[in-house]
Amino acid sequence: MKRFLIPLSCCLLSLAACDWRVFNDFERQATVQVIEPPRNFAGTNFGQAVAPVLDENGGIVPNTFLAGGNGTTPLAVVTVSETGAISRKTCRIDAGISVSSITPLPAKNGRWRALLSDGNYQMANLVNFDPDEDEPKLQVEGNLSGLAQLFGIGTLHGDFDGDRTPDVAVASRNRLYFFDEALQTAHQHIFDYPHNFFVPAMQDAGTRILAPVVREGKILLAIGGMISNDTGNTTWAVLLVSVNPGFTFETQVLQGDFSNPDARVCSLATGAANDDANDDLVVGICNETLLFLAKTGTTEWFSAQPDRVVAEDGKMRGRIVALSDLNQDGKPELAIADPEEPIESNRNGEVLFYDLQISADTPLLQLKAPKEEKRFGTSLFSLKTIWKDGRTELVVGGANVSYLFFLTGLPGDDDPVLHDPR
Amino acid sequence: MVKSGTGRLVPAYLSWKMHMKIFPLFFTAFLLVVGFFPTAGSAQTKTPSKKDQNAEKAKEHFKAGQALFGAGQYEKAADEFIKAYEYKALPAFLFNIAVCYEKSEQYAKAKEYFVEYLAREPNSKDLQAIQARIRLLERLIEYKENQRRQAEQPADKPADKPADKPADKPADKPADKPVDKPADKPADKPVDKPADKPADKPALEKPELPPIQTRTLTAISSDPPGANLYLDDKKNLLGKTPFEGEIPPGKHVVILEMKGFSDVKREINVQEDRMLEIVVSMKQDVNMAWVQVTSNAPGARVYVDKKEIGHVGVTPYTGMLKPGKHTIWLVHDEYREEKVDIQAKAGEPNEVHIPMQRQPVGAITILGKNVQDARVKIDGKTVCVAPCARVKVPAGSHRLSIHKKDRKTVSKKIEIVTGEQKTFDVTLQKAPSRSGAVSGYVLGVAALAGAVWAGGKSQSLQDEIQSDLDAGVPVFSNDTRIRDGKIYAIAANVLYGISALSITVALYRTFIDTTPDSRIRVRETPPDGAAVQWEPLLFPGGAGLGLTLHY
Repeated sequence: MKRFLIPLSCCLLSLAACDWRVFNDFERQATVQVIEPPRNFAGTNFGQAVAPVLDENGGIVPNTFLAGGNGTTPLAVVTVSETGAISRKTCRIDAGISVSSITPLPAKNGRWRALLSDGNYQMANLVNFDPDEDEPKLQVEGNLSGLAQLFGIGTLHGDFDGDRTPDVAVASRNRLYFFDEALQTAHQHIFDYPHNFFVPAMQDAGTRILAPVVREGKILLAIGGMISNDTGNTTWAVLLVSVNPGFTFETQVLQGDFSNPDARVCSLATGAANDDANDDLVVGICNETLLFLAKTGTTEWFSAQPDRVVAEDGKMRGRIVALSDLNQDGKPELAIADPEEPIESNRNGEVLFYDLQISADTPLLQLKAPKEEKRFGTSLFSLKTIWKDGRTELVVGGANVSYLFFLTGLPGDDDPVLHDPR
Repeated sequence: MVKSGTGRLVPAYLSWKMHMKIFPLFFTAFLLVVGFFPTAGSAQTKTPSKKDQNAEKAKEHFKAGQALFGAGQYEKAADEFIKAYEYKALPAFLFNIAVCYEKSEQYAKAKEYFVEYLAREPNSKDLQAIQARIRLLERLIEYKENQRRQAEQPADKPADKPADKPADKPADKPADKPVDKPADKPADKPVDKPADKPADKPALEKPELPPIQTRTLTAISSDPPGANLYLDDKKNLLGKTPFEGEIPPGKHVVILEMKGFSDVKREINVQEDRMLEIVVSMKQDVNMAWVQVTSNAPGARVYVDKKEIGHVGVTPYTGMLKPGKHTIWLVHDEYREEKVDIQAKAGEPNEVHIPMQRQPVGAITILGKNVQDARVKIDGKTVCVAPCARVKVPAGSHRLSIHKKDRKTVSKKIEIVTGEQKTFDVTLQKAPSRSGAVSGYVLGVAALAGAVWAGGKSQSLQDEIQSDLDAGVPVFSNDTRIRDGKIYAIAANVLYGISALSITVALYRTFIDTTPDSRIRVRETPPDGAAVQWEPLLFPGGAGLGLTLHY
């Protein structure tokens, strides 16, 4: 009897057992990986600023990005493995800073580099670190502070003047600074905005108001802000700046109607929306998004009037904007995030995708916030991956996490089940 | 019916011998009177109205007699019973008359009526008791006579004694003997066989009479007479009709059964101070078959057709059965069971004699620890409640089992040899408690239910997530469904484990018993010769040490 009972109970157990490991698989198979702050990330708003990492040739390091937030150790390196698993490393820094924007710089001597703007827009730090360390320590290469109001509200890296040496552009409220990569003030160049143009404060972290526009092989700088008229009325405006050799400048201003007072640029995105080689400009003016297609053969780079407007009554369809070819069809989709739905809407933010080839205002896809998320869509970032020939995936910022969306399900996207690249 | 010189009523059909002893002078007259007066027996041939009237009168006087007896007026009560007897010559009246005279210390009369009663009821179940009473009455009569003589003697003795003694003795003795003895003896000992104390010896002590009461009277007759009369059920045969006798006070059912007639059942209420007379008219039954079952083993239990409903009577058994085939079993403890199939036919006497073979038996005695009030079964049939001694068991192989609440049942195959006595020492161990097993089952089932529920929840979440994945709906890695599903799955596994363990333990406790078993041991008796043995004894309400002598 004893011999019989023990195998019987074992059989019962084995027959009835539920396999909880299937949920571990689900966690790995989830089409949205939730990227929480690393364990020793001492800060908040993790992911409010995200940026890729550049290798020594200036190319994007796939499957990797930097995520910044507020706090004493506000920067983390996030790596997505080929199995879909996420690993995060916190970068240590001696002095506590906050990271409101990150501009990657090409790596040097095996160390990754980035220009970090602080949350008060008083300072910009050029840091580097060894990515192979378990907890990389940030080393400050250069530091700039106190040069102008809202200094560092936007930063860019590139060869803007065409002299084949990389420059660093730092936007402030009223002017644009240009430095060499070593951030030496001795070699700085300043471009003052037109007198009625300025960049307002109170920008959301993670928004981009300084964006590069590639036009005929040359990088233009697009600065989002506001413009006022003689009567003191203001409206949104985008200042386009072309830097000529010797740091002479050409500009074009795109602006709104003064009948729409207090409109401002919340976010800018650039990329090739159509088949020409020039980047097009997407301007989020908080409640609507305007698409300006690059013009060729004229002195104006863009038409004064937008080529397309995305708007919806009562909705903020222009807070965070991005262009990204998420479905690998060679044409980018427009992504618009609104992290701050009205409280009465009982929603916690959303991300909408629009096909720029179709003029309809109906979004292709709507990503809803997960249950616990309160501010879904604080940032949008296209992560370059090595899967499927370098396809991009979408990283959406949340209140204190980032969401990595695999296979968003856009038309043309792969079948999530059959063609999961992982 | 005649009235004697002493005022007694004498039934016409008293035995000749009795009449010769008691009333030799009136015998001739009696015979003459018989020819002219109707007897009690011939009263039945009278018109019903007259008979009823007599019965009513007899009842009235019986009732009055009982009342007077109760009031202590015994002589008047005797007169009332005599009157009752005049109207209806029932032997019980004679008994009551005798009791009344005994109570009024008219012992001679009492004796005569008891003698008459026995003459009328020679098969009375009280025969021996009444005979003993008659002897006591004779001694009382003798005692009283001695008392009377002694009372008369003091006046004569002083004068007579010195003169008489030498002269009288030789003269008296021869004279006394032939005169007194033949005359005395028949009169003195009408019933007694052994000679009582010599009549001439003075009774020194007054004999004490045991208490006695008058009898109630129930008379049951049937038309036609001769029916078997049962009281309450067919196992208690009172006799045949006409019946006149005593039935215990209270409510009863009398059953009359007669060959060729349907059984008749009557409810009766017997009261102490009332005479009850019942006349039953039997109805012929041509549709039923009258069956008589006899055997060489009287008292064998008779079962008809279905044994499980119990026996219908004991042998000799008579009863009515539906015509057709029947199976009859005869069961007797000392005989082998017999089974016979009969074909009962209506309107015909179906008499079956079933011979039974005596069964050899041995005996068993059950003793031991904790056997008090245990049921002792032989072949599944309870034979006694332990401790029990010398219980007869048919010879052969049997299965002895001892059953007691909360104790482990024990059984043993035993071999009983004819005439042999076997003693079994039984130790009954406590039965294992099943409460632990029950708790195990309850916990196991509850855990199983919880496991099924949790497993179901886990599965449904799994299905939900999978369907979202299949449909391309974004599934977040921190989706609460993933966490909940995992928790439910783990909980289900834990509960399955608890359930399996609990049920296993419960099964173990149900089927596997680690406590010692109860046992039966045959107590060895000395093979030869005599032996004395002390042994512990258990009996209801106590225990002790017994001395057993084997020889």
